[in-house]
Amino acid sequence: VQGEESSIARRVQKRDPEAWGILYEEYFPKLYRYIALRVGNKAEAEDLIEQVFVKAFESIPSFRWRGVPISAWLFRIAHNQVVDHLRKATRSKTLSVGEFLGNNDAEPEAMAKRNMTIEQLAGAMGTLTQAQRDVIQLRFAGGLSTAQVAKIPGKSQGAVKALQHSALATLRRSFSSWSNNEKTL
Amino acid sequence: MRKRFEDILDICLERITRGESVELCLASYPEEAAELEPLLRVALSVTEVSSIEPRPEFKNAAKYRLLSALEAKEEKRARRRLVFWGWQRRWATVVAAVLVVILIGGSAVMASANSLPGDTLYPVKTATEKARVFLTPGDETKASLHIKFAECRLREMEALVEAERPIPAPVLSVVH
Repeated sequence: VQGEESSIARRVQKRDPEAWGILYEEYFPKLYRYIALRVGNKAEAEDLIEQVFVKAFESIPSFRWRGVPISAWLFRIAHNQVVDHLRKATRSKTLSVGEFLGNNDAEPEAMAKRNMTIEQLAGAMGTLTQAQRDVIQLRFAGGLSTAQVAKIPGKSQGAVKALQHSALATLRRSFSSWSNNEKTL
Repeated sequence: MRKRFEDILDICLERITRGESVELCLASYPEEAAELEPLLRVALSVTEVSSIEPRPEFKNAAKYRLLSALEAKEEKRARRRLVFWGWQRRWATVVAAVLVVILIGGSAVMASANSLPGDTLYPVKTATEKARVFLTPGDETKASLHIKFAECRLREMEALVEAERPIPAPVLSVVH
């Protein structure tokens, strides 16, 4: 996999349109999910994802392989773009993902169920620290491995695993208290 | 050595990401199963809820814009390269022409040094002598050059006689 990725990275660096197409298809949905969950707004997420690819396209000459996978490099760009965007934004929005559902769930029942889970997740994510939120979003929305996540904020893989563990435990507690409240109602 | 719980959790998360069931993963770690299961179920819920997809029309339009920008940039670079190589080629032609003139001219002058009246290169030899006289400063030096060239004419005539070749009239008039 690493060999494949380094070969794509080399071709992308030579501005091979086919390689850019492959990179786009592979990472666009993952980066979009990650950005969307962080900014919580469809229009802003669409603007940001385009900016990420423009930025990647402009800075690809300075990309050095040296064991840093291109996925980590792309997510680092996305992370910086989001941080910059949130700093500038007058209002702060987190995980108002209801508007992202669109036509993904055709069944009203499934949609209602998912909306409820989204609400739960939104509430639970608010109880995490920023570092825990970053790891969860990169792991489960971005689809990165802990090794890849470790390259983005520059943490050790052990630290990422510890954050992942503590974050999942916190989310579990939040989900449990949510379902207990539901039962008492 | 026994694995740390965080490592086991990470291994299971990777396995369920690849499509393995939670049950299969728990079976691999029976001692940790009780602690693992709720965390894996939470991770599955988070993954499911996070599966937001971009609008296909937006995704395609953004891809088109990116690849068009890539193409435009490549065309610009190719044009710049072409202009650069155009200049390079023009300069290379000029330099090559100058070198050819110098090399051919220099070789012709050297080859003409031993030519005799009537030879193809003889006019080059006399033209070189005239140029040397013209470029030499001072009357005295010019006079000594004239004497040197007159001696050269005599040697040429001797060579022509030896070779049984006719002596052209202009050469005779120079000696006179």
